[in-house]
Amino acid sequence: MDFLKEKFPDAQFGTLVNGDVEVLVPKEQYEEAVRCCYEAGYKYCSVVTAIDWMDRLTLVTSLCRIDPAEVGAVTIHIKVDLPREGATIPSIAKLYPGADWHERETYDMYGIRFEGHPNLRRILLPDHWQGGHPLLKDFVDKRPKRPRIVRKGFRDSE
Amino acid sequence: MEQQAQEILINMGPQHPSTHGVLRLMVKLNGETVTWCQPDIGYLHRCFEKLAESKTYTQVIPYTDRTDYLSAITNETCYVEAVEKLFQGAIEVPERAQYIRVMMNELQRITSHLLALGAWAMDVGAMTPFLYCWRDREKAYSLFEQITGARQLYNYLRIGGVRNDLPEGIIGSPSDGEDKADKTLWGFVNYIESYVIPQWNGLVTNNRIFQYRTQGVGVLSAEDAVAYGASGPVLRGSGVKWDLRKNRPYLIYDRLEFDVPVGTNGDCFDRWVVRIKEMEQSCRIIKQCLEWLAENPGPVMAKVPRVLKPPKGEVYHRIEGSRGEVACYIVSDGGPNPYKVKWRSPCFTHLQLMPLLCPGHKVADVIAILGSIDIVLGEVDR
Amino acid sequence: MVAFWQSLPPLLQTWLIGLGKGTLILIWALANFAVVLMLDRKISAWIQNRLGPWRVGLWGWIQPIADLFKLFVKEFIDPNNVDRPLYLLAPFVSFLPAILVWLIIPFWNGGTAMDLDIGIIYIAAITGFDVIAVFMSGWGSDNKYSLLGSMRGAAQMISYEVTLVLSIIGVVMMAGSLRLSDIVMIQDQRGVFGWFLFPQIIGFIVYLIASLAELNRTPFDLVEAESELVAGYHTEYSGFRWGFFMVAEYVHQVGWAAIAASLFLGGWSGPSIPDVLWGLGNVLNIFGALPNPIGNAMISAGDAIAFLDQGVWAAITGMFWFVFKIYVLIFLGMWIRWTLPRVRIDQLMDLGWKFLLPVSLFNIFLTGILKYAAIQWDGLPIKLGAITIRLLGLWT
Repeated sequence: MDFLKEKFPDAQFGTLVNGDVEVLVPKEQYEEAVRCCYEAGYKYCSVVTAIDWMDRLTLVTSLCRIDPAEVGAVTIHIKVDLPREGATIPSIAKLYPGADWHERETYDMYGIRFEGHPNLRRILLPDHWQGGHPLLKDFVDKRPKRPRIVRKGFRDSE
Repeated sequence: MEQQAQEILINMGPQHPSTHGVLRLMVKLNGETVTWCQPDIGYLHRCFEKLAESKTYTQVIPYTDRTDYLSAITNETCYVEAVEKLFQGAIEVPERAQYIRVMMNELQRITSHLLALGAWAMDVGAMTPFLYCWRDREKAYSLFEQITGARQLYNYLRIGGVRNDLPEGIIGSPSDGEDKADKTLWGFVNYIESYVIPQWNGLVTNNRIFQYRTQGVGVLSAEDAVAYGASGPVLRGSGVKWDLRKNRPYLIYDRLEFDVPVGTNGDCFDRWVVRIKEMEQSCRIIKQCLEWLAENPGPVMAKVPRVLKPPKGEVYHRIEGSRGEVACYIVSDGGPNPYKVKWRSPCFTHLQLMPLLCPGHKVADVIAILGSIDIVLGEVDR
Repeated sequence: MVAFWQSLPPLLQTWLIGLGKGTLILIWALANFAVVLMLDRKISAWIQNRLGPWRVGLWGWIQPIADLFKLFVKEFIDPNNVDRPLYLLAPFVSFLPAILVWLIIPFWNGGTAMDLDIGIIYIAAITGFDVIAVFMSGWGSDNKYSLLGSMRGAAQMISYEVTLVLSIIGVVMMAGSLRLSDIVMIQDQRGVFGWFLFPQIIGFIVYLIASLAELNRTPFDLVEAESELVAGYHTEYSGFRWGFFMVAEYVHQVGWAAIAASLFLGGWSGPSIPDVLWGLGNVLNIFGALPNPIGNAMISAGDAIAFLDQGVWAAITGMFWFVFKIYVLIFLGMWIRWTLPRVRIDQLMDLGWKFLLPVSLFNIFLTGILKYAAIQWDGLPIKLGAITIRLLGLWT
């Protein structure tokens, strides 16, 4: 955490409720912040996800350190604010191969494009699905609705 | 005359007798050797995260059960603990509830490992251990039914404790034997330790043919394991002694004594042995819990408001599930529904290992490796 | 009737007898198939702590009939791009060798359908057909899984054929004849401890392993490894065409068990009821040293029913023991099948060529040396006081 404070003095730091550290960096410094954590020993990427505040998206990358001797390990969450439409951000899949599919899922669900990702396709939804990005708050399901069957009683005649 | 070998692309499709669920593996073969392997998922996507945003905090708990449906309580634990942390100390979970949670988690770990090993042994060709695992899981199911009312998907944990206390007489006494394995918890633990694990060791672990099939296959180095986000038995099989129960204790694991088994080579056989040894350690933990639970009655549910509205905040809670690190990122906006729930499942991350581990091996090894990674599609696709 | 028979030209007589024998063999093979199928499911259920078929008939025992009926009425799904001649002929080519093997097996003393004097070589020749059938069905199915399965199958079966035949050569050396009925007769004359199982124990074990591989049974069933290749070379077959493959596989199993029983376990030789009574009586009398009423009663009872030792009764006794031995070996095969995991193709080839083949060659070598030594030195007598033990007596 201190190493991050040194390198990015004007980023916003915070603490999550269970002691984890969160850092809000501007988009241009994202890759550098991740690399800085990597060199400090945080070589394990736990998850890459995004949060949809109604006016913007926030990309969250959680990095951890795997040190068998450490008890009470702290996770660093690097956050980046992105616009809701057409957001792009450099990919960390080269540095953290484990983040590959997490980034694909974030693209699938939120529409954030990762530059430099080896295989940016939809992962959980069908490959060429045109229905949008489901986890956005203003997502509207455009699939045709099936009529609901309403049964009134035990027998149809009732 | 030139000889050209042509690669064939086979599709171990979503419908496949290998028991791992709806997973599609695209494999390119040169003769019998794999040159490229790519999994394709999404066949079991049930929109858990989107659903969670429209339900109340308590209503999400049954949905978390259904991600890793083979060890449901660990998922519930992750979610419930995350929400409890959001309350920042306003909810104090009674100690008895914590011990019950730990005990249920470890019971789930044992049954989940039994099934993982059974299905894996069946893929490798030994069909009998699969049925033996069901014999033992049935006993566990009877116990779970008596405790929680359900056999496989429980909806047992609540925010603030557990739903109900253990029924009378289910703990039993330390001298319970195999005949009580489906009636008392002590009986079950003794049965697993003294009968089931030696039987598995004798039948599969020490079997030369099984060792031929799994030793040296799918070797994952420690650096690769960490870089690819592996956790749980996959990470420990590669030699990294990392267990969230010890390195980042949650519930009351810091009060319990147990070891963390670690492999040496990172091949499939090590991952098998790590799982067997973890079952032994789980038995140890359960015994400690049972001793405490038998002597300390008390409440099992804290006083919580009827409508749960955690204060605004975010939390990322990671626990050691049966298959690896299960984590839950919850964002709360102060309302009765969670603003965002992100479920980090270990099997999703582990499937990324398939393109790394499979090339260079034979077709038969692809199945052995898939079994050793131990995926549950409910968790992969959510 | 008899006059009608004798009026027929001899050629027609031979043909009709042959037809009759063939029909009986076919019926025997299919009856065995039904029993072994049922036994397979019940034994596997017993090993796996469950019940097996339970509803059809008493305790599920007529399940195979229900299965066969279902297979008959199933639709023949014909894929478009198959190589039609290969695809259609493969089941028959697979079934044929299974039946043909039964022609030379002695069921009782003198009860062989066709007592060829090249018995063993005939078996070795027939086994080659299996490989062709596997290959035809795999290639003709136009399916990558089938092709993979049949490639594996062809490689496996060819490798283990060599070892299989070599493991039998030791028995041939000891019996001095290739004719199966001669081999069994010699074992009958040598008594229980002279069965070729004991001197040829290495050959027997190699034969067991090689026959499991030849039959594509676990631990060598990677040809139709369910969890990898769906169903291997018979993926694209449905209905009774697939049923043919199943019948062929089970009849093969029984056939190879029958060959093992004839070559190593003494075929149809075994005590009949009078023999048992005489034996018990003698034991109780301690071979005449201490005559007592019970022993004498047993011996006289044996005398009374001594007719059970001749003629048709002897044939029935022989057949009983033969079938008993076959089913012991089948049970052994099933036991192994449900216990051991599957080996991989390259490990299988290693096992066959690098281990079993040298061992069977060693067995031949050893048999030759011991037999020579036994003949030269008359069984190498060792005197222990008044008793002379003849070592290597087994190899004479």
